Amino acid sequence: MRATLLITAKDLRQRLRDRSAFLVAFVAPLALAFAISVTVGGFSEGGATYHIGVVNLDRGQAATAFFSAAKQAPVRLKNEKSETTARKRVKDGKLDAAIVLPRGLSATFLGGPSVRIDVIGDPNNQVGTLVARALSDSYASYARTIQLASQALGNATKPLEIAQKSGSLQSPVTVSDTSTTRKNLEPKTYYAAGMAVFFLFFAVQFGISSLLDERRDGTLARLLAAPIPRRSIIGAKALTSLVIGLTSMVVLALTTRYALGAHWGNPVGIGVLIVCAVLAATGVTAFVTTLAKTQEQANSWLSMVSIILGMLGGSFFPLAQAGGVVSFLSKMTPHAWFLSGLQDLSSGEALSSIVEPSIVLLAIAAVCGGVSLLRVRKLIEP
Amino acid sequence: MRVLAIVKTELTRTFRWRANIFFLLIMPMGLILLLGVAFGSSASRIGVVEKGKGQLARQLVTALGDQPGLDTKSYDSLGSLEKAVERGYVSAGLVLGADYDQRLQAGKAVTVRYFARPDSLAPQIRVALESAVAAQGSTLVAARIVRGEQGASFESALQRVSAVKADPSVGVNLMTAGGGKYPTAGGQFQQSASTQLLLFVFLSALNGAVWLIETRRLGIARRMLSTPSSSREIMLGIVLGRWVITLLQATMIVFFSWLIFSVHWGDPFGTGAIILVFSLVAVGAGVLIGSLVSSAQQAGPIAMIVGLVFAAIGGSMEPLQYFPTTMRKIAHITPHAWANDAFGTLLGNGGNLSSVWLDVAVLGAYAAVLLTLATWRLRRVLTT
Repeated sequence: MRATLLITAKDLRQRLRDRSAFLVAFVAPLALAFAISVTVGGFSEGGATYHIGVVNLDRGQAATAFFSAAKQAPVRLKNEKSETTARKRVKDGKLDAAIVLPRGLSATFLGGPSVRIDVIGDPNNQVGTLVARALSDSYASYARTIQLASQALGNATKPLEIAQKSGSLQSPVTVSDTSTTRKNLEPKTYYAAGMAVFFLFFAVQFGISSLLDERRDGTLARLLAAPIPRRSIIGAKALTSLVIGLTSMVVLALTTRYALGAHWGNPVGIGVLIVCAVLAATGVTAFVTTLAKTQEQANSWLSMVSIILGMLGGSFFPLAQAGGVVSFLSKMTPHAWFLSGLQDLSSGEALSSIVEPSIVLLAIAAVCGGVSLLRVRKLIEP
Repeated sequence: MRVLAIVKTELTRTFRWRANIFFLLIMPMGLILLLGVAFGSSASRIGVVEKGKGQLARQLVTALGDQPGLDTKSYDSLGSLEKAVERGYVSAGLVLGADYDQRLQAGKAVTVRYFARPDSLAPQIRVALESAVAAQGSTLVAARIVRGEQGASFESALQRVSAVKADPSVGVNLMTAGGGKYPTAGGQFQQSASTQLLLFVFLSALNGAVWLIETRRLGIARRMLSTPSSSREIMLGIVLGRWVITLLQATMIVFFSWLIFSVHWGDPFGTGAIILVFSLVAVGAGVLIGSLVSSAQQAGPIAMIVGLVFAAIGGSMEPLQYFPTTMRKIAHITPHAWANDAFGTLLGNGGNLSSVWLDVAVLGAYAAVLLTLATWRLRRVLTT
């Protein structure tokens, strides 16, 4: 036991000295979680405002109504002199989209000929286009209401009076937005957790796969010559992986919780999930390491496996809902189970919801770890 | 000649190591496939639970799906929809009650429930929803006006309004800035191909730092210096070698994504210019890291951190168009953002080299600065 602890302590000191473990286990996940979160708006207030140009060729009451109707939408309307300049500014990305209010728009409300509102959109800015189109559609619906009512009534009532009435009549369908009352896993927590588990698979490599380093550098032979049982050497390497992995996950959870305001949920549940995930990551890493012959091979295979599992498991984007083969593959990864357990916890489900993910993670750890125990003898044979 | 020999050494060393084929080609292609399958071409999705199976409810959902850049996905129960929204499988959720049709046809008001993740797309989807609701509401509101004017029952008022045959007086037409028809949907893999190209080209060029450190550790650099070649030739060889490898990778991604996923790469001169200059930026950054850091154990993680963080901020993970407004400006400190803009102009708007010259020029400036710094540093570490 003492030998195990000595070797573990030596490994940890070595990793601390070259700072690589620090970079992989703490800096990388934190930097990425932060970068991804700011881009999806998790750390910013209010989200995006869209800049929509309006070319007002109508200059009548109808155009004024358009401007006041658009006040509720997340847009800033900007007057553009001509359609040509509006087009140019959409193309240059200065505007998200533009709307052309045609000549004679006000006249149609009084029974004039029909007109067409042009929406100028950029295919690379689908969201901006969607907003501009939706604004115009809403306005067209308003015009349609007045048209329908005045025609159904014959021309007995003046359309303008109808317009006033229709302004006071709300649509019978109300949209009630309940977003804010909901507890859910915000993007920043999701990405913090996703990055933590992604880099966990790199962090645990410092333990297990350093067996191959020791073999290459000749220190393994010396360890074997010493009065140390082999299982102590293997145990020490596994212990190093577990220590680095656990420290990384705990520090990340605490840092993102207190510095970035991520909500991880019930600490007991999180603790259990983290332990299970670290065990699974160590198991998978040990398994891949025992397949490799040289340290270079082990390194590149481990990177491949970690990246593939991370991508499929949803560390970068949620994939489980894609359906078909992709969902199936996603469910095969420890990452997906860890993240789904975490999501259940953070959305306020009972502690029992982590039983299934934990069991799956432990099973992965047991199977991969068991197989590698059978194969690891080959690695340390002198 | 001596420069070419160094380039050849770099190439041989890189491709002798089989795993590189995975990192350089198979991984980016796999990711393009994965992203295409998972997210396709639409910008955002809204999940819907229809409790009744009424005509009006159906009409509303169809109208939502017809909005450009918005797809609907149907869910059986409120629970599964809530879970899907929480986990980000869809951006927002909409619940239509069982009595939706019944109440509307009786002239009564109806409330639909809407909820979204607190990320930046929620307000935009809300706008689209409001417009679909307004379209459906126009007939109903008109009927209420008629009832108010004539005192008839709502049912007969609705009949009178529905009997109006006139075409809508105000239409809406969507077009591109060039005046052409707005494309309904690009290919399924179109969006992910160019963004992933940039991510991986940059990432693997940064990983070149590890190779550069190996070159020094194994003594290859010292042996090259002992030959009658100047340090300038050696540096040129190293940079050129990394550039050729990066260009080979980019070309393979372009070729195979076209072959397998029929990704359309636009104007060849424009695309070529972006790839040439962006690769040079990436090589410059890689050589700079390789000459600043002394151990491969550190260079690997640093390359990964810089490569992925720049890709995230520069719009190669989440497209720039979803960024909050200020963040979109900040994004342009990365070369990725400029290159993504340029690809957007080329592939989305059918531009050519002359429409992306500014982006290419900015990338050229990045390349010049990074290469100057990198060669200055490299000369010092090689010769001292």
